Amino acid sequence: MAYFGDTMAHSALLGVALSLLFTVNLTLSVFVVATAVSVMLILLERHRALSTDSLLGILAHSTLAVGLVIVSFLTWVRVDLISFLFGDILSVTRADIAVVWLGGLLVVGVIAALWRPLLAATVSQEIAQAEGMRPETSRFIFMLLMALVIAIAMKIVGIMLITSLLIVPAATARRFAKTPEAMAVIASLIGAVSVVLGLYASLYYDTPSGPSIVVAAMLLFVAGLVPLAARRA
Amino acid sequence: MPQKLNIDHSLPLTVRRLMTITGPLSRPAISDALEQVGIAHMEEANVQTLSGGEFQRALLARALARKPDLLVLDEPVQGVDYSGEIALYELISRIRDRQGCGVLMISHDLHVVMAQTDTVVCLNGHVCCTGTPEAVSGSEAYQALFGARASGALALYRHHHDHTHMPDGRVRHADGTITEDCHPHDGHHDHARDDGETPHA
Repeated sequence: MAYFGDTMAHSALLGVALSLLFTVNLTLSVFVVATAVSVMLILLERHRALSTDSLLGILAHSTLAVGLVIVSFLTWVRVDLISFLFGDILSVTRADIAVVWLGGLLVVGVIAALWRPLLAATVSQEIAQAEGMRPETSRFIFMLLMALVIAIAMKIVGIMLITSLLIVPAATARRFAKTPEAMAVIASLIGAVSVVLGLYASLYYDTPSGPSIVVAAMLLFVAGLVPLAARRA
Repeated sequence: MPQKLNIDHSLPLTVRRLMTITGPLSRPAISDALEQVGIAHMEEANVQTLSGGEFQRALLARALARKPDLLVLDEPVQGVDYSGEIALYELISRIRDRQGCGVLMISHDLHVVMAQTDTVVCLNGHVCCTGTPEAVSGSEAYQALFGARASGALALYRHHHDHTHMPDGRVRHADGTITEDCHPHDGHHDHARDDGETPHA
């Protein structure tokens, strides 16, 4: 599932291109495209003709490429691709911050409300289904949430690096968590700390915001390895 | 209870938490179910550290804790070594006796399961035959092979097929004729048992 987020993030560039082409809201456009990609993935998976890995690769890079091609046709707009790919904190407006807060609260609320079916579907689709749940529905809602997260985080972290924020803090939290609930909470905290550290570093050292955040997350991950090594020694 | 389950190593999950992933259970109900399958001491253990047999027991405990009328077990001994298999089959028959629930088990181990089974349905693309298995738990050869403890759980369901299914899907009958499908009376059936008794389904 981790690379599923990566595929959706790549498709965000198509969302950017379409938003410029039709002059619609960027966040909305990215959300719609990421959702469309996840629906396509679910439909293609049902055919079982190709492995999920192949499908993810095809969708990720073809949507990214189509997005780049569309942008190149838009000769009347000057697009700073780097800021979309790697995030640009300076492009974030007050309205964007409101979107981050509202979107974040919405995502946390839905996850809290649907925690049990989401977790059951993660552990085993078979068991969830046998015991009266609807793992397909949970999965689809989870995809919508991921599309939303990608749409609102893209400006800050950038398309290429969003996946790292989905994976790295969770991997760091894994060492300290005994239950899935604890892992989710710890991972969120580590993610928040990474963002704060990364943004401060970006301010002081004049580095791009997205990569700085990911470097902070990576350093926290490495720091998390130290107690483990000490315990082994 | 599913055949097999792979739980990602990146998910921290204890046995107790595995019990409640689809719905809440009281602590005593969890302990009781784990006690019944003999892994009460592993309640706090991470599911990724369990052996094949322990994991199957944990899955069985999940099913038991929900007080089922019918347990559906799809090859419950997958990934379990031979002595573990026997212990698991014994456990399943004890559970049936204690809980009074029906057990529908899908299995490939003709020789191991049968002693505990009331009705066997032999499937080979269609229902080949049904009937009560013939216990040979007293058979010296079996006792010698698997030991006295296993003798109660080991038996042979003896039957022979009067037709074979060929790779291309056609059917070769005992008299050498080949047809596209089984005869209508096959499966109910000309599968006479070795001892000549008529099967009582």
